[in-house]
Amino acid sequence: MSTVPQGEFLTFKIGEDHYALHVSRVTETMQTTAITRVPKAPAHIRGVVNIRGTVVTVMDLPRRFGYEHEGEYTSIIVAEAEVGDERVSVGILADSITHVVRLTGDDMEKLPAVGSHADCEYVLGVGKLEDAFVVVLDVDAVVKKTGDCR
Amino acid sequence: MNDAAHAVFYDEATELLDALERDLMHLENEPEDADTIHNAFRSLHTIKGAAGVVGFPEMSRFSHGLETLFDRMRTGEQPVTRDTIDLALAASDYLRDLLVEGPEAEETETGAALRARLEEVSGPPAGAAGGRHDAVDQGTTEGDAAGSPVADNSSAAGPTVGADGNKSLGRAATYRVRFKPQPSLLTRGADPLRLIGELRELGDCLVFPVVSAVPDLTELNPEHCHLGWTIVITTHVDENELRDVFIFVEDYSDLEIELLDDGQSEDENADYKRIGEILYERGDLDDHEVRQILAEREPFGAVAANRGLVTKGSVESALEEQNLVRKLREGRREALASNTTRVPNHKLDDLVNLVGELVTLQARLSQSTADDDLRDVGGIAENLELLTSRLRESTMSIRLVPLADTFSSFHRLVRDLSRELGKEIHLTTSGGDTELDKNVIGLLRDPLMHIVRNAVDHGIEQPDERRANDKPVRGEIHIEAEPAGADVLIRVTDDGRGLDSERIHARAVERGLIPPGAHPSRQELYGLIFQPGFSTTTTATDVSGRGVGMDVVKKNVENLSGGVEIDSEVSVGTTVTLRIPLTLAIIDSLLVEIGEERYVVNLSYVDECFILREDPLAGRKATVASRNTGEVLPFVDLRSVLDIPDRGPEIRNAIVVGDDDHKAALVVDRIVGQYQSVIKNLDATLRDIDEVSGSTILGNGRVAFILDVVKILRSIAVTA
Repeated sequence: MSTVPQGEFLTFKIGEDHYALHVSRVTETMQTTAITRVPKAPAHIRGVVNIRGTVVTVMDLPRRFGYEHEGEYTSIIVAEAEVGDERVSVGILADSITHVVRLTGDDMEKLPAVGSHADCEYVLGVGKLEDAFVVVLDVDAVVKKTGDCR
Repeated sequence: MNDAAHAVFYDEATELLDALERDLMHLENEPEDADTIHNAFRSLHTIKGAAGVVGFPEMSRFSHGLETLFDRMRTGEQPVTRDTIDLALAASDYLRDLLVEGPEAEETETGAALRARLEEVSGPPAGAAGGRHDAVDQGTTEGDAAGSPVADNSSAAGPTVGADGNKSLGRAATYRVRFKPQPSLLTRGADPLRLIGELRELGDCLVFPVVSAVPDLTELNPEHCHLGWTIVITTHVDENELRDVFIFVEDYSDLEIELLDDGQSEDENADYKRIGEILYERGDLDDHEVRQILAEREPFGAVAANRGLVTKGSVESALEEQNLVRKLREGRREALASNTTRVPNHKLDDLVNLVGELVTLQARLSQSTADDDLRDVGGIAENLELLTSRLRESTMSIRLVPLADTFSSFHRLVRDLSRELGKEIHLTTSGGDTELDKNVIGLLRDPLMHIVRNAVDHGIEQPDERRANDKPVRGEIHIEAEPAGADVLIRVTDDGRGLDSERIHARAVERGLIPPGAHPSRQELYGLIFQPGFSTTTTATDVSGRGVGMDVVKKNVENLSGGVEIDSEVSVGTTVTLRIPLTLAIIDSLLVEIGEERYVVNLSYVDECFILREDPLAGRKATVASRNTGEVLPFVDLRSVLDIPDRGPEIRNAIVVGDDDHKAALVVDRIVGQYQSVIKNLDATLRDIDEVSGSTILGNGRVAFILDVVKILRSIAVTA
């Protein structure tokens, strides 16, 4: 978790914030579909969707970070995360999927950008794009059940 | 002979050896039972014949010797005693080893020793099979079955030496290295730690210091090396390479390297040597001492340590060795365990008939669509639905196997453990014909074994303690299974000392599991036993209790969507109940609607459904009467259980659900209908949610959750 990753990243936007996931963790992207609410689940778990017979939990990152997203999401990014010794697929809700970018060590910093909504415990590093900063997410930490954030 | 034939032989021989073992257990209690002796003889005869046909020559030869023993028992020439049963059990273990080894297996030292004992007891094998043993002295006296326990065990389970005999590449062998430097070693500039470090690079090591030679502080010369080491190493290199590590110090130290496990032998119960044997072999104890300790009928290691014959460290180290080798063998057994199921013919016939009907129906459907005649399609769909559900049931029933085999494997476990611990325990089982999914049974074995071990080790008291408490000297353990709706209940009951709630309480406080002032109920206290790292015994024995245990049992059972409960009364006994779902795959269910979502309720819990004309919530009544039986039931508004906002429609529905303990009417918005749910287990992100036990995918592609009726009922029973 402490190493700043390098290589190719999928970037996406939630509100005005840019986020990125390492491509090795991303299995597919899709449009939002019917989400089934999970009773008694923490607020950031929006529900589950059926992806070709697999039940995948869908997460709302803003709620994970402690604020409410405005408007409807359009996309789901399906990523793989490790919980204990189990590998699970999770969906992350996003407004738009932007690019695949290459980030090297020079583009990356460990500290989160000032003004970002994300807590540093969920962040692997911050990359510099042409016109903006992008928060590289630690998907394992996002999925880990530490209750709600803040 | 091809691999398929070997696989079949493996399965059959395993079953026959299981049956033989069962018979032997039975004979121990009823030595006079002629039928059982006949059965055992027949099993052996079949094994011998089949081994010969399939081409396992050593197996065939060896079983002939054992068969002779049973032949003599059959004719009454040889009495059935504990010792002959011990011998026969050891021999059947050896047969299992040979079976695993394969057709090329050759006689090991173990085998030779056993054969010698068999011939001693029953005379040399006559005739056909014994060609190579003709030189054996024919005049050996018979009937001297009462060998000393040490002699028995060391010959029965002695090491299989001959390291390179048939060791194939890629299999790691386990050695014991005893390294005792002379005191002057350090002055020669050698560093024993470096040598151990080198060993570590060759394989997985367990290292135990031997401190018995360390003198008192006043006499201690700090420049001398007083320590020795026993290292148990699992490695791919051979003995010579291990020896090479010590090449420069060999002249200044005692070095013994012994093969413990050649990476091949594999035993049904993964039994390794007893503690006494290990200590004896290592030279920590002599023969006389071993006998004396055995006479005490207490856990061997504990007695040896208490008497100061060996240090606690030696016992610990011997225990570690025992565990390591056991683990290795267990692993291999799992890898070899056959992945086949025996299916009764009638089940296959049913399946074939159903597939026949399916083909006919499919032809009908093709015909209707080809003719563009859609009038019949509704009927075909209806038929197809019926057929699918019968096909499903029939297919699932093939995977159901009775629990009897699993149960009977515990007889040997209980026998061996109780002897080791010096206890007298009688194991009975019932409900062995209860069927469970084969995969479920496979996953249940370990948790059940743990529970039974606990009962033997911690539950049943020592004979004198029982006598002092006016209990029968012989302890009873009973394992029973019974179907309960969509579940199977498996209970393990002992008449031992019961759980000591005060000790559990103290321990829980000590571990910080509950605050010091808390007064949890008895059930809540028992629940704490399932917490990781909880164990009230302060000393670890080799039987159970290393701080892992009941938490693993609980985890395994919950992975099967089941549950565990404990009930206990001091000095009366303990009952552990496992609730296991019949199958993990598909359930008949009721689809209901609450708010905007649909949920699934396992149909086997549902007694009746009815419409609620008046909203019981409005009247603040806590109960509602059943339409069928008039029974007054508490009702549960699922909207509040599932945190669904709003009140829902005016007219709602009630489903009466329940098991033996609890019953209630669940209030839902609407009942959609019956549905066959293919169960999708929840992943780690959702597993903590008590109200749902799984999910399924509906016809429209959406996900619906399966409500965990048992947990919901229990939660309302607690709050009520």
